[in-house]
Amino acid sequence: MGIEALREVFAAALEIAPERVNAELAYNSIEEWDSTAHMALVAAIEQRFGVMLQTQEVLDLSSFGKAAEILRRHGVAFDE
Amino acid sequence: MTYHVASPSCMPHSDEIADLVAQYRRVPLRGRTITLVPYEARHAGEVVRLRNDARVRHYLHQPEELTLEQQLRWTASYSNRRDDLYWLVEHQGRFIGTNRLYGIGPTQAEKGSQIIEESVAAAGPFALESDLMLLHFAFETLRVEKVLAVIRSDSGKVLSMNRRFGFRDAALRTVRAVEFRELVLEAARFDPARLDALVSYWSNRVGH
Repeated sequence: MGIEALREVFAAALEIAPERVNAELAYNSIEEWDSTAHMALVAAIEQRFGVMLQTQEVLDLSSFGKAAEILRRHGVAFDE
Repeated sequence: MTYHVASPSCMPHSDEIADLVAQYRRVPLRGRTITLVPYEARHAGEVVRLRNDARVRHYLHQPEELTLEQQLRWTASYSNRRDDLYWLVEHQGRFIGTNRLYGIGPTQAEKGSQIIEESVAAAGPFALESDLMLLHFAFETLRVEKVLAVIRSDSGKVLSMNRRFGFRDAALRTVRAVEFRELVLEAARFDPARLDALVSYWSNRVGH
């Protein structure tokens, strides 16, 4: 599954244009990444990639890059 | 959720609102991951602790630290009001925040004073469910036509979250040199199915 799938998940959960999802996207960088969007993002990642994040991973998921790193630890391979 | 009451179709009068407020000051509202516990004087210390967090003081526009004496004076005033419901947010036996509906009348109410401790805010849907429960209660039990919210213009994430409920910008207001946005959510625009489902999804992992 490509990194593009993760980008789509972010755009849909945060309700932002896909072009705004890039390597620099972080919790503190945009207003739309609010606490409700964070809940939606975690749920969407789990459903799309078939994983269950640990509580610490939910807390650590603070950027697009961090999400990719967490998913790699769960065995998700990105063909970048 | 278990906090709805059977409701006649007509709009409630002020006396009925006051009766409902009195009734719901005695009844905890149980959600999927949290319980909204009606505020009482014995909770004053918890409120002081929650409100004196630096981040909370900024977005609630509270320049000075709140003291227990001030909170107890507010409690005395609150006890005499019949248009105001203030709750502690409880999760797994701990008070992790507050929420409030005030200025409750036959047609509208205002929500505010929402706090969820930063240390747990990202670990579960507590802020989301707290507001959803409050909005369900306002529209389905109190049967108001609209809910208002007044939020600092520089609280971007709080504004964003409220817009996800359907709140729309209505006006700007300046209080002690700080700009606030007045938001409004009409009953007809309250469509919580997707957010209710999100709380349900999360309730399976964080428990109550």
